[in-house]
Amino acid sequence: MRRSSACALALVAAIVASCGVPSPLGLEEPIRVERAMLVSDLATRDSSTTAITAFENPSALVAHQQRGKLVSGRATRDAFAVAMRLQNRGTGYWVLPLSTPDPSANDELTFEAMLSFAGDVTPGPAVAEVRAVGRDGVAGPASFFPLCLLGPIPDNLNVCDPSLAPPLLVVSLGWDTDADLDLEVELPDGRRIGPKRPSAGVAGAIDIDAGASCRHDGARRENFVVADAPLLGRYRVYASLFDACGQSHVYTRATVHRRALGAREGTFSQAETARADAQLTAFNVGAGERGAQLVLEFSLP
Amino acid sequence: MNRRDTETQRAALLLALSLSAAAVPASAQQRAAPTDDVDVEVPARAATQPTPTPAQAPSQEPPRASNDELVRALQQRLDRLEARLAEAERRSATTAQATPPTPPTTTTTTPAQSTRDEAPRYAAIGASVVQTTTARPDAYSVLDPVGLVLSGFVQAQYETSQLSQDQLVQGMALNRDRFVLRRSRLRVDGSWRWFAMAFELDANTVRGPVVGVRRAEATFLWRNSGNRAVPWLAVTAGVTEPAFGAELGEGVRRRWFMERTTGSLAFFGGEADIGVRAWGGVGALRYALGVFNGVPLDDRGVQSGLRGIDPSRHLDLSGRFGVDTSAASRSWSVTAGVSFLAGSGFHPGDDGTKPSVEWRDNNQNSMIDAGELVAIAGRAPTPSFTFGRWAVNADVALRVRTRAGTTRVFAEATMATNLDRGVLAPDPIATGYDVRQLHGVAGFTQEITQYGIVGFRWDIYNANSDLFEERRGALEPKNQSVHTLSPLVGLTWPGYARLVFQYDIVLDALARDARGIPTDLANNQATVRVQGDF
Repeated sequence: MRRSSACALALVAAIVASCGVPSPLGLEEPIRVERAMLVSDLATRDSSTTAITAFENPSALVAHQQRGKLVSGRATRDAFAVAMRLQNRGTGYWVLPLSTPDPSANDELTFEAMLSFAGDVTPGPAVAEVRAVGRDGVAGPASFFPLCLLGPIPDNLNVCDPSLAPPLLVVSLGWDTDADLDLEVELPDGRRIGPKRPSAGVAGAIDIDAGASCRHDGARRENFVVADAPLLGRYRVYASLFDACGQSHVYTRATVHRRALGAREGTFSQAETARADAQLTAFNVGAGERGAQLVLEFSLP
Repeated sequence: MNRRDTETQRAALLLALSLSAAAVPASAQQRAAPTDDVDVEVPARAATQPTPTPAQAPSQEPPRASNDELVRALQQRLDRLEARLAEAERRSATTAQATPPTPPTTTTTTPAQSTRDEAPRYAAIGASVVQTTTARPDAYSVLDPVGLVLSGFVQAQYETSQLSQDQLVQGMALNRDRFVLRRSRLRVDGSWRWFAMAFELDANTVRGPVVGVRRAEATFLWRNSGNRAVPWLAVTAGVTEPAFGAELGEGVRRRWFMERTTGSLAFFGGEADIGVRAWGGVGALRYALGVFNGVPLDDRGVQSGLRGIDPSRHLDLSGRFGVDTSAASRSWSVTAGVSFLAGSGFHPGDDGTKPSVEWRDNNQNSMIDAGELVAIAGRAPTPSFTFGRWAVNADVALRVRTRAGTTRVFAEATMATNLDRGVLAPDPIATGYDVRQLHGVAGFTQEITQYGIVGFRWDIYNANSDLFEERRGALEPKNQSVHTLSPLVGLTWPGYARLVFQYDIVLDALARDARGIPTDLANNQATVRVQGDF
């Protein structure tokens, strides 16, 4: 009787403890795959015949925090799913069931995956690791595909190819919430570059008007980019809160990045030379240039 | 007078008669015959009257009769008293049969209630005194024309779930490990001869602080002649419960399990709807028939993006017909019924769109290249449509009262089409086919004396019995069934407080294994709830 009771209790405890497979959202992962499941303990066997036979990636470039990057491919006919991750990053594989067979490729099973990349992933070269999962739940040999993860600061792909020279000067203004904040830069010649006048020709231009009209585009960053010929003198960087979009306040950070020589000859790098933080409240809205808050000053050279 | 009191008095009576027969047998014969009083306390008073001592008896009594005569006389008297006692018990039982089963709570009898049996029927009607009572007002509260009654309860709980994550999705927090004020109700009931009313407010923090009307109903009553019997006819209008199944009308204050089952919550996001309901009973038969808007009021607050609402002019008709034998015996009862619902759902149209331009970054270089700008023509408004929905339900429950406590075993099943309004609301206009739902529940509760409770409930809900998904190029049936196993254990201070722990083991196919095949998702949850009543 005592033994049967103990067995019953053990059975109940086992059911409670082992019930179900966890399904984390994986928002902390460097990469996410829509409609896929994050599996942290995927078994692999490189000698398996279950494998990826084709992988198509329209572009190896991955914009900062890019969402909806479509990749596709095929796997052998005995595969059940495809597993992918960034090599040596993250905590597991994203597993996506395979879809329809491709009659033009010996009925190999196809897949399409929509990839999203985290904002805090380290910019630079990366490798996508893709495996096919067989009937026994074990993944076969890996296929590797190169990627270039771009950062939030325009660098002319210097992060992946140091031989490419980054812009001479980038003034960047980023903020922490969905508000219509505008970067304004006062040039040494007195001109003020902002959302109403975003370009000064070769003296630089602002790339986008992020969050315009409270459109939640998720960018939360504007950059003033000078490719090759900056004006010499004193620059003033302002943050102008055009619309708080219902927020009470906005934290913002202005940074200055300048081109530098790389460690090896013929290479370049991008270095941050100044930064400053500021806080704007909803009371700062609507004052125009007079209400813009001075965040940072610097001089060239 | 309850059965225990009657039995106690009966034993006292027999003991007193035995003692008097042994001490002063002759005096009993000369005592005046008792009047035809139905009050069972009369024998008890007779037994406590002063009796002569054995020393006094010889000088006051005539010569002794023989022992046989004495025994015969005493036996006759005992028979008469037994007959009177049986008659009194029969009358008392007749009154009790009209009383519906009451929850295992200690009732604080108010002055108005204590005089109810002695006064002419409905004599106290019109005495609109506000009073509080621990007797739970529920659908049967209108059986007592007691004026106004104020009551309420609070349910506070700590809940934890394996699904909990410190993340936001679409602005919704995924953390489910938290303290929650699940319900705090304040209710006023009024009941008179022909009319009754109820008004109940609820405040909770399930989806943020919410205060709303949980019940606001007025009832016309054609009362049964039996005391506290279910009325022949009652017509209730306002915010009240639709007549469908047993679980929906069980009452959140009395129910031991934390929430209704998944299927019941899918069909009825809240217990209340706005409409009219006719209900009543004849003997053990019960009936209820109602017409409602078909938009249950969810007391947890509005869930953003919830589909399945029905703003159309078409109403939902629902009803339940069954039996309730609780009036026949206090030791056991059977409740059973069949229900139906017929109504309509709503497919919303839209207001049309303006022409627009969309950029598709086909080569993913983050630049607009040739052929990547697509013109999207404006769309004309689309009309709304309604679609039919229906459901049938059967429920049965057995209640047995023993020395250990009350045992309740119950089961209920529902088959429906397009009725899901809370979990996966179907839209047959968009999908082109009707969606079938299946719901079943079975379980038991065992009260341990009046201070403890254990229970277990199993329920299954299949939101779409005809769902398929494509895997490896083939259509495979996708199991949408969600099984929930819910053991519970609790303590109760009858009429004042409860402490209940429930663990929900949820078995479903919402996750995927390493092969991409649906498997059980880790989404068990546990809840500890404290309930206070007044």
